[in-house]
Amino acid sequence: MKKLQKKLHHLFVPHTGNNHRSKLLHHTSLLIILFALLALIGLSNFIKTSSPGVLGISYSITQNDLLQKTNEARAQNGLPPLTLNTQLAQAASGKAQHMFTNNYWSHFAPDGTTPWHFIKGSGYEYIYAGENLAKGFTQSDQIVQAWLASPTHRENILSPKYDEIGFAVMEGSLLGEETVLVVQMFGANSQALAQAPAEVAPQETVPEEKIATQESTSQVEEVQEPTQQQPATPDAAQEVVELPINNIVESPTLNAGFISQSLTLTIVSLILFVLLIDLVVVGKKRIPRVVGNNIDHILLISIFIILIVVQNRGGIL
Amino acid sequence: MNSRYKAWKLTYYAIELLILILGGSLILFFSFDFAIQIMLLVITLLFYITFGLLRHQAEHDLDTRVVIEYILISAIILASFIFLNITRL
Repeated sequence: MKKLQKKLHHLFVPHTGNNHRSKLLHHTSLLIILFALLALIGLSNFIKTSSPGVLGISYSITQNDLLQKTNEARAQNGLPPLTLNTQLAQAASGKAQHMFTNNYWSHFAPDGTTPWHFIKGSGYEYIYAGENLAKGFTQSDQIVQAWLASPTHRENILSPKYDEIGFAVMEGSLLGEETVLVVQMFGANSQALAQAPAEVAPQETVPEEKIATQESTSQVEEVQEPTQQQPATPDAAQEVVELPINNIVESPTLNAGFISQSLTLTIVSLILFVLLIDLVVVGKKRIPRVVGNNIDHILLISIFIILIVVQNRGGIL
Repeated sequence: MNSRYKAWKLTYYAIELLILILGGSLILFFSFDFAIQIMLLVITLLFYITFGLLRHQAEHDLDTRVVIEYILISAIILASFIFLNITRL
C-alpha cells in the first residue's frame, strides 16, 4: 500500500525525486500516452476493417420508447396520453426523408416547404399541429430529456391541444455527417371539431418560431369542408398504409463512441489534473525549472475538453 | 513582479485563450467535415506551439526540452481528437 502511494506521489506530485516535475508530465510519460493513443487508433481501424459490426456506435432509438417517455412526461403533468397515428408517422417520415434529400436541418426547408405540407400530404386533417426535431442522439430517453429541457419543445410535448402523435427515426447523411434523425409530429384531428368551438382555425407550432394563429382561408376551408384531402379513419388507414419502420437498434460488440469518448476524456482530464497539481505545488515552492508553461497547457486542454463534450451532444430543433 | 510584466502576461493569456476559443468554435462549426476539422485543429495547435515558444523566448527560458513538451502535448491533443472521431474515419 505504501509502495503504491509512493508511486502515485511520484507520478502526480512534483518533488526532488522526479526533478520537481510530476513524472506523468515527463517527456517519456507523454510519449507513452501518445503511442498508446496511436496504438488505439490503429487497433480500432484494424477491427473496423477486419471485423465489421464489432466496432460501431450503439443506438437504441425506438418509436415505443419515444412514445412511452413522451406520455410519461404528460402523465406527470396530469395530461392524457397521446396515441400513435399512422398518418402523422408518415408525415414525420416524409419530413425526415425531405431533410436528408435536400440536406437541411430546420423546420422549414430552404425551398419554403413547411412541416404542415407533410402532414397535409399524409391526409391528416388537423386543427392543431406541431413538430419537434432531434439529431445525433443514441438513446430514446436522451432525446425526450433534451426536448423536455427546452421550454419550446416541452410546450409541444405537454400541450393539452394534441391527442395524437407520429414519429420517424431515420439514419442517413445530413450536412456531411452520418446521423440519426428523429422527427416528432403532433396533431389534433379535425374529427374532434364536432366537439370543438365552431370557429376553430388550424394552429401550427414549431419550437423556435411560434406561428401566430393565421387564418388563411384555405386552411379554414380544409378544416370545415374537408373534401379531396379527407383523411381515412385511423383504423382504415392502418389497413392500407403500413407504419414506417421507426426503430434504430444497433448493438455492436464494442460501442466505439462510448469507448473513445470515455478514454479520451480520462486521458486529457488526467493530464489536466496533474498540470494543476504541478502548478500549485511548484508555484508555492517557487522552484526554477526549464519546462513548458503549465497555464498554456491548462488552457489548451480545458478548451479541448469543452470541445469533446459539446461536439458529442445531440441537437434539437 | 512589476505591474507592467503582470499586464503583459495577462494580455498574453487573454490573446491565447481567445484564439483557442476561436479555433474550438470553428472546429465545432465545421463538425460536418472531418477533414476541415483536422486542418483547423492542426492550425490551432501550430499557433499554440508558436505562441508558447515565443513567450518562452521573450522570457529567455526557451530550451529544446520546452519545444519537445509543447509538441508532445499538441500531438496528444491531435491523436485524442482522431481517436474520439474513430467512427468517422
